[in-house]
Amino acid sequence: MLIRIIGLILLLIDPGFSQDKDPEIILERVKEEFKRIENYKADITVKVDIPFIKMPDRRATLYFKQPDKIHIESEGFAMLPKEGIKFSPISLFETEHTSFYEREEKIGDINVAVVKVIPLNDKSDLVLSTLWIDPIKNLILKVESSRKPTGTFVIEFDYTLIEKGLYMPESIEFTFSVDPMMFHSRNPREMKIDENKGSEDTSRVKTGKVFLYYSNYEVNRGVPDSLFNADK
Amino acid sequence: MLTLFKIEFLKVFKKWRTYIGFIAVGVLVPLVHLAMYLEGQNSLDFITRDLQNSFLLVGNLLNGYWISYIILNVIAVHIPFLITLVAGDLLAGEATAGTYRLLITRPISRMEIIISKFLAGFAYSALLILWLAIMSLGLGLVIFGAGELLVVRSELIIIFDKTDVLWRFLLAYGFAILGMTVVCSLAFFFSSLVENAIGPIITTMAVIIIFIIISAIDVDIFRMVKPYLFTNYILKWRDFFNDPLDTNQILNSIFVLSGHIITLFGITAIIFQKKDILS
Repeated sequence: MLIRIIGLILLLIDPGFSQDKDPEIILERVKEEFKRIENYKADITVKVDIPFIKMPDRRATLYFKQPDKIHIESEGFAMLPKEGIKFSPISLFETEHTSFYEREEKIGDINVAVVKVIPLNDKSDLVLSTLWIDPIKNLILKVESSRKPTGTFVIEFDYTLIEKGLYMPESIEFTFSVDPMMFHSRNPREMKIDENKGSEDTSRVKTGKVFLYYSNYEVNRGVPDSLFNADK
Repeated sequence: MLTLFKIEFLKVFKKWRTYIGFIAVGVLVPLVHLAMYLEGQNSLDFITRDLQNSFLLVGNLLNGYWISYIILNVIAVHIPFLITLVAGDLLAGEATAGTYRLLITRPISRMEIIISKFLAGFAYSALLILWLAIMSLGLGLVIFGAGELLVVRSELIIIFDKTDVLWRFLLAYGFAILGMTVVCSLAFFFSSLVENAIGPIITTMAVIIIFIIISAIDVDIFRMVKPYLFTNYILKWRDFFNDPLDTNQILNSIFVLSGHIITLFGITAIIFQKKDILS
């Protein structure tokens, strides 16, 4: 009995136990880690694998500045998933929400904490997010999120060490459901003349993927505000 | 033969009706460019509206290639009517002017006459398409610049890299010349049957309208007939904007259109050889 009581006391006073399982602390650490990146510039290669879209791989330069400023420069046309490119833990956690620690899981060799975040604000686009978080590096390795009206999407991150203790995404795989209606022609002439494709698959929602590959990072070296003003 | 062709070519371009097509294209295409300059972005936003819900679209899709593609889509259907104005007059015009007898009393064979006249009609058709290419693609690239080409089909969006577009346009215009030569051959054929140009012009237009309507109505009985209508193949220039390119389908269309040209020209040549010239 005495051993049990001592064990319980030790369990309660052990900060490691409570913090490792407390979702808010885990999320706060991720947020703090993300805040270390004040700004960055990176070259990105975009590869689109969507059943109803054919386009060549594109290259672009991405500029980011806290809290959520994004600017993209591309020589040609590029199509980037909004949720993937604009994903920010800060914006995810800034709305009033509740969270709970679900389980521990393994992604590759890494033990990750699976945390669910549910917004309490009815006006939020976010319905539910599940995050797979590396509690050692405080990095989000995977996000599964349901948003209005875009539906459910999954973002998987691979990180690379930029400088001591600072990890940045090396690649992002963005998976989402594709409603063929999204790509239905708004040009009646085109609809009429296209005889190359059957219509048997139109009712089936398919999965699309967009891959973003990052390179040539310049982190916290300053990005002028004028870049983002031009986008407004 | 070359001299004969030059004479026929000059005869074609001495008539003011020959310039109607060039004027129509010269007026209409800049108007489309102006409209696109003012409203093109709205059109593009409308087409890509659903995509923009999920994607950030970066770069310029409102470019010379896209506008030329739109113009080719819209105008290609109507170019045949401009072709008939000239091609329908090639032989019947001689009868109307009373110069048939004078022409065939020259020391040249009837075959040489018919070939030179047909080549003049072909040259007119090719020049009209070339003019369309200059006005839409040339002017479009000057005004809007080059860029990726967005092709929106009923269940597919294809975005071609800007380095992958020009050759498609060149082949599409080449194919359009072939298609218009079929129209020229048909009007030329009707022109050999009568002595007044109005008949061949109206008849060719009527045939094209009927064929286009039959192609457009999606019912079983018309669907069966469709593969046999040349109008169905004239618009196959769009196949050059597919990825991957369906070479067999393109070659089949070229074969069908070439067959029409050879057949119509052959029948016309036989009729003209045997024709009793009374005017």
